[in-house]
Amino acid sequence: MNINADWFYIVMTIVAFGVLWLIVKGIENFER
Amino acid sequence: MSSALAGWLQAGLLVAALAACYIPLGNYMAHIFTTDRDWKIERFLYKLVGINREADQKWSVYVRSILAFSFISVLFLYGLQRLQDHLLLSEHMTAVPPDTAWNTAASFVTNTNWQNYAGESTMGYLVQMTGLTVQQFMSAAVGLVVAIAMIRGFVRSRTDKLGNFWVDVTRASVRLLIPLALIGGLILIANGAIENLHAYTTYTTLSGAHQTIPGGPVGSMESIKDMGNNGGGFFNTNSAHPYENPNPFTNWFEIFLLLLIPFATPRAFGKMVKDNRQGYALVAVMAIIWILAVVGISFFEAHYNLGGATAARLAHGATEGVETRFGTSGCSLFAASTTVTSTGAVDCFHDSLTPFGGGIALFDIALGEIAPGGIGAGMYGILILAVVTVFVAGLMVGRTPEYIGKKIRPREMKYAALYFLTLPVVILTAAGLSIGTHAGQAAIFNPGPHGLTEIVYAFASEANNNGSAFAGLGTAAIWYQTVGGFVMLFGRFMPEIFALGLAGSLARQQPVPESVGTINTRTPLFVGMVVAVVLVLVGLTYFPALALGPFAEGLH
Repeated sequence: MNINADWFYIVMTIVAFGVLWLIVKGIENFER
Repeated sequence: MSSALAGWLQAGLLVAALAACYIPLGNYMAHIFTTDRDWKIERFLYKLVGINREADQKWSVYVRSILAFSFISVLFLYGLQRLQDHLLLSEHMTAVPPDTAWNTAASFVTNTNWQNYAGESTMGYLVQMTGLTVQQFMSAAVGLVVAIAMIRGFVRSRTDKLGNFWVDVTRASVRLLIPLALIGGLILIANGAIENLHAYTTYTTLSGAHQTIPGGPVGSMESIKDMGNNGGGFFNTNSAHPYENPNPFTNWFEIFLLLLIPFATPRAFGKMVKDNRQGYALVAVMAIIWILAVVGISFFEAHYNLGGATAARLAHGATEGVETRFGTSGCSLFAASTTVTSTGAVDCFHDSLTPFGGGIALFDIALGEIAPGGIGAGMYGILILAVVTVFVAGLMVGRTPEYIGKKIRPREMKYAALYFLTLPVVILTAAGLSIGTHAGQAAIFNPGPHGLTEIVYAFASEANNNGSAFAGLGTAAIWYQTVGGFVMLFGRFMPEIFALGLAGSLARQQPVPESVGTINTRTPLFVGMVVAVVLVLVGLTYFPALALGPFAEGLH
C-alpha cells in the first residue's frame, strides 16, 4: 500500500467535493 | 446483402423498436416518479437506511444529497480497488495503483466509465461486481432523478421543493434499472455473453503457445453498461470482445439498450407536464441530431475510398480498427449512438475512424450529449437548451419568453448560461493545460492535428461523462489520471447543480397561462429552432478545436 498516495487522493476527493459544495452554498447566498 | 444495406436495415429496425417502446416505457417512467404508493422492498430500504419518504427537499438539499452520496461512493470504490488483493474473488489481481483507482472511482461514480486499465488484467470479480457494476446502476439512477427533479420544476409552482432524492434514486433503481437490466442481461447471456465466476484458464495452443482465457460475470455487467449509458466494459476491448458482444444481433441489441431510456424520457416529461406534444417535440430534436450523426459517420466510414485508397475500396470502407464481425456499418451505427448518448461503449476503435468520422464523434460528445444524451443527463440538457431557444426566439420576435407555463427571466437565463459555459471551460482549460505543460505533452504519442484531436476528445469525453477514448494518448500517466478525475467530477456535478438551481427557480414561480404572445413549443418550427441553437452554440464553442484537429487532418 502506498499510504502517501492514498492520502493524496483522499484529499483530492475532499477538495473536489468541497468546491462543489461551496458552489451550492454560493448560489444559495446569491439567491437570498 | 451489402454492408451498407445491412447497416440501414439495422438502423431502421432500431428506429422501429425504439418507437414501439417510447409510449409504454415513458408512461411507466412517469408513473414511477408520480405515484404515492411504495413497494414493500422500498419501504424496507427506507426503514433500513432511515429515510423519511415524506420529506420533500428544496433544490439545494436535493443537490447536497447527490453530492454526499457520490462523495461516499468515490471513497468506497477507491478503497475497494486499493484493497482488492485482500478480498475474495480477486483472481490473484494486485491492488489497483492509487492514481488508476482514483480515476476509476471518479469515472464510475460520474457515469463516465473512462477506463485507464484493462479490466481482465486489473480488476477482480468482486470489484467488477460490487464496485463497478453497482456504480453503473447508481450513477445512472442519479442522472435520471436529476432529470425528474428538473421536470418537477416545470410541474410544480409556488414551492421550493423538488422531491426526495433518496426516494427517487431508490425507485429508479428498484422499479426501472434492475428489472430492465435483468431482462437485458438474460437476453445477452442467451445469445452468448458469458456469465460465470470461473478462474482464468491457461491453454496450450496448436502452435505450442500459451493462451489465458478469462471468465467473469460479463453478461450482467454488459446489460447495465449499455442501458445505464455507462460504457465501462468488463474487458479492455469493450463491446468488440466476443464475450461481451458475441454476434451481430447482440451488437444491435446493445445499441438498442443504450438508446432505450434516453429516447423514452421525453415521453415521461410530456406525461408529467400533462402535454404529450411537448415530449414529441423534444424527442424529435433528439432523433434529428442522432440521425444526422449516424448518416454522417456512416458516410465517411463507407466512402473512405473516395480518395482512391484501394484497400478501403476492396473492403467496402475504412476497416482499420473495425471489428470484422460487425463491419463498418455496425461500427458507424454504434459509434454514433454511443457518442450522442453518454455511453462510451465501443465496438470499434474510434482512433481509427476517418478524420471527419472521428470529428463527428467528437462533435457528438461536445453537443453535451443531448441527442438523446445520457440517462437523465440528456433530458435535463435538452430542457435547458429549450429554455435558451425560447429566450432567443423571444428576443428575435419580441414575445415573452415562456416555457411550459413558466417565465424565463434573467435569473433562469443565468443558470442556463452557467450550465452551458461549464463544460467548454472545463474541457478547453484541461486540454490547454495538457498541451502547454511538459507533463501533458509527455503522453502525446501522435503529434500534429491527430494528437490535438486525441487530447480534446479525451477531456470532452470525460467532462461529458461519455468515457469512450480516441486512444493514442498516454492517459495512464499521473497527469491525465489526476486532471481527468477532476474533469469528470466537475463535468458531471457542476451542470447538475445549475440544472437543479434552475429547476428550483422555476418551481417557485406562479404558472403563466398561455396567451397569443406565447411561443408554441410543440411545432416543427420550434423543433428546428432547438436543433439550430444546439448546432450553432456547440459549433461556435468548439470550432477552433475542431478546425485545428479533425478538419485539418481530413483536409490535409
